[in-house]
Amino acid sequence: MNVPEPVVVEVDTAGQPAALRTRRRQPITSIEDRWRIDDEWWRNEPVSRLYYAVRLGSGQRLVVYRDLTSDQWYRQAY
Amino acid sequence: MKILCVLLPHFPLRCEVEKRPGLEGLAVVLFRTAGSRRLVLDYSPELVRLQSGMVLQQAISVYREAELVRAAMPHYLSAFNSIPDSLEKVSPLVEGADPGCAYLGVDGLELIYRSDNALVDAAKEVIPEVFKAQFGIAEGKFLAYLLAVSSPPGEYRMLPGAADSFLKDFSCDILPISERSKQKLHDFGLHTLGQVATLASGPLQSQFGPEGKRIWELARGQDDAPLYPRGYEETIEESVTLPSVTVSLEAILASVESVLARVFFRDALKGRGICSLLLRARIWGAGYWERSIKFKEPAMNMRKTLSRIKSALEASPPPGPVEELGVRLTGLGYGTGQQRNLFSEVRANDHLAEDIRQLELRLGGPQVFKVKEIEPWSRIPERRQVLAPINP
Repeated sequence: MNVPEPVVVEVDTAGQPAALRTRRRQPITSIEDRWRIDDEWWRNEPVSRLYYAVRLGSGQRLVVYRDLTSDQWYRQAY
Repeated sequence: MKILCVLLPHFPLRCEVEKRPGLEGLAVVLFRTAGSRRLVLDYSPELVRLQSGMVLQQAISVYREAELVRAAMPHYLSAFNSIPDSLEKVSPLVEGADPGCAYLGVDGLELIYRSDNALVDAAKEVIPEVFKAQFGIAEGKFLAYLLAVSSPPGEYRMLPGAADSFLKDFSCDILPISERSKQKLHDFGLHTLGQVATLASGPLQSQFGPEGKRIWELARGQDDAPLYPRGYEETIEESVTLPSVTVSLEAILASVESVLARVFFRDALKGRGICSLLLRARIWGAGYWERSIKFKEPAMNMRKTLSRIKSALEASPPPGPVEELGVRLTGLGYGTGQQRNLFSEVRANDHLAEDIRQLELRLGGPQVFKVKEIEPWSRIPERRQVLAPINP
């Protein structure tokens, strides 16, 4: 349940999320929070994620994270 | 306080006459059952040697030709309930003392009823003529009652002069005191109120305790007993006559269901539930039967009410074949904090599980899931809960 959903995120030069690409491009106006999770390091596929709580241009708030092991972006309710 | 006493003499008998006009003019004895004994409840006025509470065998031995009628107490109580209802149109303060006697507080009604005549006329208008009401007006309930007792039918009486001279010839049996005290008064040779009134209050108190003071005061026409106006209690009544006399629980429940359908159709019940009800049945050849049923929480719908009645009837069914059924709702209340079921049509979890099983058989694979917490403390969101099939 609450399985992460892959999304396409544009990043700026500093590696911070700048826009979300779904059917259309939605710019990220602000990053409200950021935190990192490193867990299950003893497994073959350890969890290492960098979460961002961001606000889109439409005013919508959502949580995305970058999987630091695969360098993929995901969306997930936190 | 000025009181109007409305007395309906031989009220149970008048109720029977209203129901069966053929009894008018006959010598009738109404009897009730108390355990294994049969006692006289009421009788025709001309049977002067009878008394209420007398054993029926004694009554028969005195008046062998009298028509014996089994008393239907619920019917008399129900009929009497309508009397204070009507009298409240005359005065808002009505005390329904006993079946057949009501007191009205009439202080301050002078602007509506210019005279006592007008007041009594208004009371007469709301009481059916068949009851042959008698009226008494006095300061206090006891005096008003005695005046009503001694007034001719359809008339009223007021205190003719001093209370002492009016009261002196009344028997002590008319005092509203215990039977034991009445007997004790007779044992002391005190048979009339006049005899009691000549005594000092001290000796009476020493013999009768607190009741002695009241006896002494009443015998002198002093009565400060307050009027107890009845509290307002909303009631709903419905009844049905069965197409044929039956002992079948299914048939009785079907009739209860039709009565309840009428009850729940009423506007008076909208948004409220049933807290308590009285189930009544007229039993063929055995008078009336009734059963009080309480609800833990207000029953907001017919299904719940019927289910409770069903279990009550299964536990103690009516004692004979039922001719007529009725319900009287005496407690109405609002449901408290009830969450409605998403699957309102499904009565139990078993039924729900069975429906899901049928659905999954048709569509294949698990279709309905429940959220199950496995690691609610986990920092990884997808580890916190899982969706588990309802039917494993």
